[in-house]
Order: sequence, then structure tokens, then C-alpha cells
Amino acid sequence: MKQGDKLIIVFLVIVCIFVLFNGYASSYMNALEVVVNVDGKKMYTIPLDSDGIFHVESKEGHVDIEVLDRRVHVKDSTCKDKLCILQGWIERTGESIICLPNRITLTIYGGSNELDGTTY
Amino acid sequence: MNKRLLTLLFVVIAIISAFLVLRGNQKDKFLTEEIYSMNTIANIKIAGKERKEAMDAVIEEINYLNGLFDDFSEASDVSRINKSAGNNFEKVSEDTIDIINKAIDCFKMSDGSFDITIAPVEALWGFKDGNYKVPGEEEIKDALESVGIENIEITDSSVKLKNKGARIDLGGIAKGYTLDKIKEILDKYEVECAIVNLGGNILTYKNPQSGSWKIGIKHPRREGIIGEIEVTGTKFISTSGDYERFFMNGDKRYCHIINPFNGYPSALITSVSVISDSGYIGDALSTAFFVKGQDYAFKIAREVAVEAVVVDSNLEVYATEGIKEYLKLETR
Repeated sequence: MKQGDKLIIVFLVIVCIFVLFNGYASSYMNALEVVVNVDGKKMYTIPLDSDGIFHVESKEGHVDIEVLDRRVHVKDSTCKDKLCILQGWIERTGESIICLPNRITLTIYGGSNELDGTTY
Repeated sequence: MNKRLLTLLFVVIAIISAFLVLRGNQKDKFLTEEIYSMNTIANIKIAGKERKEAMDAVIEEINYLNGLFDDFSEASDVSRINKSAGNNFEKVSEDTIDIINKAIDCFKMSDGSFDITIAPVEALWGFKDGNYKVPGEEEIKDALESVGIENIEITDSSVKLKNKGARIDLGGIAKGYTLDKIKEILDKYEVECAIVNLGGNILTYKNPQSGSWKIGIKHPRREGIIGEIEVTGTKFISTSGDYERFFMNGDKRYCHIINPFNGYPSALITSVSVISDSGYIGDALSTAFFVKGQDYAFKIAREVAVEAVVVDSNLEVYATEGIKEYLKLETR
């Protein structure tokens, strides 16, 4: 085997490792984020590692959402039934909290093991 | 450089390129919309060449059917039928005739445990207006007098409720029926694949590139999911649970699904999910299974060839044979 052949093999091995790692990394290590929709339109994207309380307004009212320790929940809401608060914390990709009266949804995206939907 | 190595080089580059192209495509091929209709939220994702046209048609269909079935809107077919109870026939759309006929089929299929004429009893418990209360036995008995599928009279284009106190509520079948109609639209536009979540009732259409759909089942007592099922191809998944609309009186939980045989909220199990090839059947049967409990659910599931996942009152999960191996429980 010539010197050039060896170089090519080394090059291929590096490319393969890079591509595989890249694929692995992007599906398993993507930062999780919570997407906030108001009346069906995407309004905010909040990384799940940025703790804090966020105020979200809609035409119908508002909710305060809290991000803490890589989880998110609705802390306060102007809606009557408060079902969004009762839904508690979500942390997994594909999970969502819906406040129907206020028309606000929170959905977690990114990472691995994404759910395509939840039946309830 | 030797020839074999050169060939190898090309093959590897081709594989890597294909890998990258496929990955790139998969991310953004879905068109997604979130709309509010049918007193709930609909999340629609469609992939394929005519996804925009298909999306418009799907949204139009949801809003159209909502206009017919929504009993909160006075002009809807259902409201008009209810208002004329005991009096006259109301002329209604073809879809309203169709869904009522299908609801009657489901009544028969479920030995009477799915009954759209239960509405007066639901109202008595406050599940219509949100003013929850535990009614007295006599009140329940009176309300049950107006319940009965035989109250419904249907002609080719009109419907009448014979008893003056009778009311119908399509809440237990309308979403499933709508998903059936959405499937027809997806067929028409020959979309590649799609997933529609209509207030917790899901239609998976064909397969995504990953080969299957991962559907979470809501945990009945806390946030998150209790398990996930892997679904392949076009399926309808419907769930009935005691956590969606309910009120507590002391330690006792009263949920919105009323047992038509005694007029009380059902409490045999906490949730049941039905996986089927028909939207309306899955939707109606999930209600019927919730009313009658696990043994009945598994028996009927076998008879009509649907799959079911039951969460009992101790939060133990049971699944029919055909779905068992595709069910993964949450371990946390």
C-alpha cells in the first residue's frame, strides 16, 4: 500500500467518525427548548436550561410560566379552570401543556426520543 | 492509487451524502399548524408535495364540522335538534345524519354503554356549564327518563327527538368522526405522511421516515405520560380518562363520562386508549370501555378487532395482545 492510500484511509475513517458523531450529537445532545404558541402562532422559544419566570400574553388573558431545573410549568394563569396549572411540570421532548381558554401552548422540542404526539 | 480503494472512496462518499441529504430533508418536510376548534386544540402536521393544499382543506373541514356539531353554538345542527326536542323535525346536513347513524351503530356495538342521548344527565351534573354539583337520586332518575337512543327519529335529511327533555351530545364521537374525514382528505391529496392531534384524539397517516410513530399516553394522575406506544401506518388513537373534566367532592372524584345505565360518573378505571382503523369507532368505544371497565373492553376489543390500553384505578397498565409488544411503560 502506498503512502497516499494510507492517507485516504485515515481521511475516510475521520470523516466517518465525524459524520456518525454529528448525527448522534444532534439527535441526542440538542439542547431542549420550550416553544410557546399564542393562538396557534409561535411566539417565544426558551431554552430549558435558562431558569426564570416568563410572562405570556394572549388576547384572552395571560399565563406566567416558570422554567426551573430543566422543567417547565404554568405557575399562574388568568383562566377559569386552571387546568394548565394542574398539568404540573413537563420535561420531556414532545410533552406539552395547553391552556385552552387563553389559547396558549407550551411544547418541549429538541433532544432525543421525541414523541410524535400524546393521546389524552 | 489502486482501483479498489478508489471505488471504496466513492461508495463511502455516496453513503455519507445520502445520509446527510436524508437527515436534512426529514427536519423540515412537515408543514405544521395549530388551530382552535371543537372546543379544543388541533395540531396538524403534513408532509408531501401538496401539503399546503391538504392543510387548507383539513382546517376547512374541521371548522365546517365544528359548525354542525358544536352544541355551544345556537346555529349548529345539534343545537337546533336539541331545541326542537318534542316538537318538530329539523333539516340538517348530510354529515349530521351520517354521524348520528354512526353513533347509533356504536350504541348497538357497545351494548348501550356509548349513548349520545346521555346529555340531560351530563347537564345535571354541571358538565355542560361548569357549575358542578352532585345531584340527588330523584333528580338523576328524572333526567334518565329522557335518555334513550330510541328517542332519535331520522329521515333522509332531518332529525327529531321524540321526548321534550331529550338532548344529544356528539362530544364522544365528533372528534373521531372528524379524523375519518381528515383521512379522506389526506388520501385525496396523496400526502406522504401526516399526524393530526385533535384534542387528544390522534390520526397517524402512513409512516414517517423513522418508520413508526411514537405516541405518549397521558398519565391520569400526574404530569407527563404513563407509557408510550409505537404505531405503524394509518391508525386512530382515542383516549377516555377521568382527569380531563372532573370535580372533587370531598375525596371522591366525579368525571364527565356518565354511565348511561345509572346516571352516575363512571369510576371503574382511570383511562383507556383505543387503537383502531376507524376514527369514530375508536372514539366511541373509548367512552364505552371507560364506562364498562377492563374485562368488557378486552372482550369487545377482540370482537371488533381494535387494540386497547387500560389504566386501572391502581394505575396498573394492561394492554390487549396486539399492542402489548409496542407498549413501553415510563419507568420514572
